[in-house]
Order: sequence, then structure tokens, then C-alpha cells
Amino acid sequence: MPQMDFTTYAPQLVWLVITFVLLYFLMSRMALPRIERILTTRENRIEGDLAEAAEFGRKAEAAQKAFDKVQAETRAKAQKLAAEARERANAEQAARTAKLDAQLAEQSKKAEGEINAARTKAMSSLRDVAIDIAQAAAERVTGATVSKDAAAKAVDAELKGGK
Amino acid sequence: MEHEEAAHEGPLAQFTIKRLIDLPDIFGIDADFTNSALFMLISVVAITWFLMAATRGGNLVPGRLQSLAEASYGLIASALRDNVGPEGKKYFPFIFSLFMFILFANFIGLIPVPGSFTVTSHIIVTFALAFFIFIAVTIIGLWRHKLHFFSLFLPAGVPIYLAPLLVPIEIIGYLTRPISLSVRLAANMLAGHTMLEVFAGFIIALGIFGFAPFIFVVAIYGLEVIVAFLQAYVFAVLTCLYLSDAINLHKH
Repeated sequence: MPQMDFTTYAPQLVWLVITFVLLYFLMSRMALPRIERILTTRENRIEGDLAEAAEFGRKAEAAQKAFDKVQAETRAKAQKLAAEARERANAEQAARTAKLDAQLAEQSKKAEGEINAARTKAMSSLRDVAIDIAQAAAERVTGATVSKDAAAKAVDAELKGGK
Repeated sequence: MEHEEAAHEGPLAQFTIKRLIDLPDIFGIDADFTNSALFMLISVVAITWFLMAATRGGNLVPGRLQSLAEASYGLIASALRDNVGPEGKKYFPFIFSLFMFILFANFIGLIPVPGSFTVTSHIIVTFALAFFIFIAVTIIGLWRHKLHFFSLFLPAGVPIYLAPLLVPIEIIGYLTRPISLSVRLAANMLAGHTMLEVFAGFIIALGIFGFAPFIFVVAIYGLEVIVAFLQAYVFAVLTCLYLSDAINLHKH
């Protein structure tokens, strides 16, 4: 069995030491620092990208908030304006109605007065006419002359009673 | 070449150490460049080439090769982090080198070309790695915890009357770590390659019925690829665990 040939041990050990020490230095000085650098670069890059993404997210959120705020403000303003306009319109309407009511009331009052005046006038002229008619009728029927005062008295009594 | 044993012709011939270049001894130590040394060197070159080529672009979004390089980094980094914690960070280059060395040695040994050799199928290589880890871990433990390090051999919460029984068991368990660690890897490689060789021999021997062992060899080869990865990973994870014992004692 070649493994048990002790004469080969020395050269194997000598070259194991030489090659392994060589490998150790190649690894620790060249290969491993390079891989490490690649890995750290990647890690840093990923971390940086994540931080950047988070920053963008924060910015977007802030923009959204600002937008919401502006929107709410605008809405409130619009509502206020609308309410004001409505109030003004209502007030105007009320004023106009009141004015119109007053005007109408005045007009109807005036008309009523006129009607009353016309009625009294008409009533008084009716009385005169009635008295004349009564005087004339009594004269025609009875042939006796009736004084105007008596006729007036009779008409008044009739008018009062007829009522 | 005088050391080469010509006796190996069977399934074990693939493990023969061949001296390729005769080099002068270093302080009396035989330092000839063997096929084992060649495959160690190929592993080191392949690992370095793979990692450097894969990460050349340094792309933010990795390609196939870069993903593989990053995955191997992540595999060992997470094993170290999970087992040892942040204290283990400075041992990462060692554990990573260890994992890649064993992984590539295992994989390259599986490439079916003439002269193919698996470095990790030799117990002396895996034992040297395991023994170095054992010594290093013990020194780290003693350095950090001084004499308190020996509390490792008496698990917390154990009744004191069990100590005479448990302490020797724990000490034996601790001392056999380099053996179990090295034998697990070398035996897996040895067994897998031997089995492949044996059944591959049947393909020719059985003539027309050779398709049966052929299918078997293909299946076993697939299994061996998994074993090659798994044993490298197990070796690295166990090293992390031993390191964790030395650094955290039993607290982890």
C-alpha cells in the first residue's frame, strides 16, 4: 500500500507546507479581499438603494399630505363662498319680498280708502237722490207738498232700517 | 526513482508516489518533487485561477463563475460565523484555504486521466493538516484561557462524582481528534478511488456484460463527486468546531 511507504512522507510533507503556505497567501492577500470587496460593494449598494427608496417614499407621502391639505383648504373655501353667496341671495330675496309686501300693502290700503270714499260718496248721493225721489213720489201720489226735511228724515229712517 | 515500488499494479497502483524531479535535500529532509507535489501545485494554481478569473469583473450582479466563487466564500464564512462567532473572523483565510485545498485536491483527483492522483488519499497529508489544526487549536485555547482551558474536559453541569469517568473520556476524545479528522478524509478518498478502479477493471474482464459494472462505475463516480465535496466541507466544519471549543470553551 503506497500510503504506508514511509520514504515518501518527507517529500509529501515538504511540498504540502510549500503549496499550502503559498495558497494561504494567495487567498488572504489576493482572492479573499477581492471577493470581500465585491460583497461589501453590493451590500452598500443595496443598502443605499433601500435608503433612497425609503427617502422617495417619504417624499411622496409628504407630497400626498400637502396635496390633501390644499384640497381640504380649497374645499372649505369653496363651501364658505357658496354659503356666503347663498346667504346674500337669501337676504336680497327677503329684502325684495318685504319691499314688495310693503308696496302691496300700501297699494291695497290706498285702494281700500278710495273704495270707501267712493262708497260714502255714492251713499250720500244715493240719499240725495232718494230724498228727491221720495219728495217727488209723495207729491205725485198724495198731491201734498212734502218738505225736504221730512223726506230726508223718512229716507234716513228707511236707510237705517233697511240696513 | 529508486524509491518507487514496482509491486503496485492493482487498484492501489493509482496511489503510488512517483518522484518526478530529484531535488537536493533541505536540511537533510528529502524534498523531491513528486506527483503528489505536482497535484498540490495544480490545486493551488486551479483555486487561484478560478477565484481570480471569477471575480475579475467584480460585477454587481454575479455571473455563473462569480456566483460559485461567492458561494464558496459564503459557505465557509457562514460555517465559521455559526460555529465560532465573530471571534473566528481572523481564522477565515486559513479555513477557506483549507476547504478549497481539500476540495480541489479531491475534485482534481477524480478527473479520469492517466497519471491522475489524489493528494488527499494519503493519510500523511490529511494527518499533517489535522495535526497542525489540533496543535494550533490547543495553543489558541491555552493562549486565550490559560489554565482555564482544561475546563474543556469537564463539561459544565456534570455532577462532580462523574468527573473521574468523564474527564478521561473527554481527554481521549480530544486527543483522537486529529486521527479521526485525517482518517475520515483519507479513507473516503482511498475507498472511493479503489472501488472505482476495481469495478472499472470488471468492465473489460466481463466483455459483453461489461455494461453492468460500467453503469455501476458511472453511478459510483457521481457519488464520489458528492463525497469529494462533502469531505472537504466536513473537514472545514469540524475545524470550525474545534476552533469554537478553543475560543468559546463550552459556552457556545
